[in-house]
Amino acid sequence: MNRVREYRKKQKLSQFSLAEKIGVARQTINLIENDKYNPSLNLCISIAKKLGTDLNTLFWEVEDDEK
Amino acid sequence: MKNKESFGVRAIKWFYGVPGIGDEHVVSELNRVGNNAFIVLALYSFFSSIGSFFLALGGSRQTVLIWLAANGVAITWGILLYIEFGVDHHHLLDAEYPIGQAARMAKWEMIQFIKAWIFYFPGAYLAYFIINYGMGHESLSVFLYDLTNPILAAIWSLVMGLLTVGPRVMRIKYHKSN
Repeated sequence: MNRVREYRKKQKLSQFSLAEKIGVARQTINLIENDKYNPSLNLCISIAKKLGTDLNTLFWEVEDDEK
Repeated sequence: MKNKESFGVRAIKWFYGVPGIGDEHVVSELNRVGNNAFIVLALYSFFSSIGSFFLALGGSRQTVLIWLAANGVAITWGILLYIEFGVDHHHLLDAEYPIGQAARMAKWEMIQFIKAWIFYFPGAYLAYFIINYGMGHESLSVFLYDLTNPILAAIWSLVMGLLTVGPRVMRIKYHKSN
């Protein structure tokens, strides 16, 4: 599970306002947060920039044996 | 990332009747619907052509004409209906707009209704022709040159247009804040 929802809430942004800032539909943000859609690299970068973080923090999944 | 939709994306959205923002997710889902429709259409055309060939060899003129007209109905209405179900199935009719854009969206819905009316008309007319020709009430020359009785076909396609645009009107949501 990615951490887009967590960082969006930290920034106190709604799904709609984040979607509006990066030029996508609110439904797309919802699908990304629920891991139902794999966004392109460009969209990932845009989301990371708007949430003030980086791609690793948002999308890198740490397995238990990697910890 | 906030870029304007290209003309190509807007044209695709118009064709499929998708009301929302044409972002990468919407475009990829539309491509999937379009690819499926194309595969079905290509296979159908292939097999119906083989059928036409054998009917032309051994069938009567009336049978061949009915077969060709039935294929016309199946292709036009079949693909249009498949697109409707595909777009709905992929949740592409769910759009959210500020309340201020309601008038613009009403205009868009009206254009979609007229488009559906026009697109469904040929299929409806062919279906009408099949029924009448099969019953011996219509001749080919009357159908081709006089275009008799298009009113019933217009009513059929009108109903299909209303059925097409209905879900779009219901699925667009408006919100107060921008």
